[in-house]
This record gives sequence, C-alpha cells and structure tokens, in this order.
Amino acid sequence: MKARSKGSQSLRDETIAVRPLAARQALDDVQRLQGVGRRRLATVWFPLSVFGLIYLGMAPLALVVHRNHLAPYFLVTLISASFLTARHYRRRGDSDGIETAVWPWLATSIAMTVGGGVASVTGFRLHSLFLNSTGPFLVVTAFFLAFSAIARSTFLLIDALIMAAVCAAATPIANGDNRVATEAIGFAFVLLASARLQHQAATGLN
Amino acid sequence: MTHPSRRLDDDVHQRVRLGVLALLSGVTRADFAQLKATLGTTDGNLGQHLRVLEEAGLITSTKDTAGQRGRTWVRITRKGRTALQREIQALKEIVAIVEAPTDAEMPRPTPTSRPRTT
Repeated sequence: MKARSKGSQSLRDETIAVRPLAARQALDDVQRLQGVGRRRLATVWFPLSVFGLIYLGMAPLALVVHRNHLAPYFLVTLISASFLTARHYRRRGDSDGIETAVWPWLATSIAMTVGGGVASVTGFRLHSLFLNSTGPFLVVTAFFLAFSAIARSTFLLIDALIMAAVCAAATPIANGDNRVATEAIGFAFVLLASARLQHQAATGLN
Repeated sequence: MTHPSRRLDDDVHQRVRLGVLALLSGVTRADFAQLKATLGTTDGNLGQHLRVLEEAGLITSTKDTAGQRGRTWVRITRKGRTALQREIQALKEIVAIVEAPTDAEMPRPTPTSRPRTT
C-alpha cells in the first residue's frame, strides 16, 4: 500500500478488501453507476418530440413542394432542433445536477440528415425511385439502430424496428411524393408516441 | 506476471472514490449534491474523497457561483478514465482467478486418453 499523509487512516479503513466477493461487489457497483449515464443518454423524449414534429411538418410539404426540394426545410429545422436539444439538456443538467454529453445525439442527428440527403440525391441521379424516396428513411432507421446500440436502449431499438416496418409497409402502397409523405407520417407517429411514453416513464406518470 | 491485486491503485481502490469515478465516467459532469445522494455518503466524507481524487489528477472540480448558493461541479479527467479502466481490469482478473477451476476440480482424464504402455 502506498503511504499517505496524515488524515488518511480513515480512508484506508474503507479500502475494498481484495476478496473475490468484494471484488465482484465492486464490479457490480461500477456497472450500476456507469448505467446512470447510459440511462440518461437513452432518455431522449425531448429530441424525439422535436424530430417527430419535423417529420409531421415534412409530410404535407413533400406533397406541396416535391420531395427533392426539402433540403432547405431540413437545414432550418435541424439547426433549430440541435439548438433546442442542447439547451434542453443543459437546463436539465442544471436542475438535477448531472450533465450528460449532447454530442452523441447531435452527431447522430446531423449524420442521419446528411446521410438521408445523400441517399435521396443518389437515388435521383441513378433514377432509383426506391433509393430516392425510401433511402433517406432507411438511413435514419440505420442511425437509430446505431444510437440504440451506443445507449444500450431496447426502447430505441424497438423504435428503429418499427421505423423499418414503416418503410417496408409504405413501399408497395405508395409512390414518389405520396410514399415520402406516408413514411414521414409513420415516422412522426412513431417518434411522437415513443417520446410520450418515455416522458411518462421519466416523470413517473402512467 | 504480477498478481492483479498489486495493480490496484490506492487512489481509486476505495468504495466512494471508485463510485465517484464510475458515475463520472458515464456523464459530462455531476454536482456535489448529486454525487452525495447517488453514493449515499456525507458532505465531509465525500469532500475528503474528492480531495484525494483531485490531488491525484483523476478529477477536476469547478465552483459555479450562479444562483444564491455556490455549486461544485465535478468532472473526470483523462487520467481518471485510464485509472478507472485499469482498476476494473484488475478487479475482473481477481474475480477470474478465484472463479477459475482449481486442479482438484478439473475433470480427470478418461481411460482412453491415457498413453498406451505396451
């Protein structure tokens, strides 16, 4: 043991004895405490609500201005959503004394929007209707899957699977702008419903 | 190879200090009151342990003077993350060594696996 200066005896007395049971208990404690951060990272009802509203606004817009002209809408709403989300997490951290990193959520949302745009443009250039209209939604679904793995959240994993089901269901029933609008409404419903469920769970309401 | 218990760091190998590092490793920062509530300790005890961790360079603390009462925010450093990982690794190895079957528990070789004598 390293020698410590005065006043350290009481600290040494609490040292975890290196017994297998104590080591196992210490590992369990570490895992439980590390889970606090992960659970907070997975509590994303606020950004889910914001993105749900963005998709809800996108549905009629796709029918009015054409699906290939939605880039300005996404640019404006994404910047606003990022700003609002960062402010929400900052305020929440201030109120309850634990601040979680905002960057995994922001990086995921920026990457999925850019990825969706690339999929849409690629589909347009290759004359692939599927890639042009369903590609962006599949990209968003893939990023949701990745984020659910980072946050180890079954809740977000289920969201991602429902989103994939929405894409699969919309493909045979609609084409072009109608398909984009259908998928956007489906995504908005999934995001807003899961945001509501998560908010209820977070605030203890049922 | 040294026994993993020799690699346990005195600055980390203590219930409250290990708890502080584990909690901070998953968040950006936490305040004193939240750490105290989560770890179920007292002001004096937590303050003493935070001082040990800060002197070792494993955490940094900042005083937030906004509001009526000052607030202390605590953040883990890169050195703190490395020390925590090393501690977790050592603890895992200790558990693995103890849980590994001893010679007495190992299955005996079957008769067919014995070398022939003729």
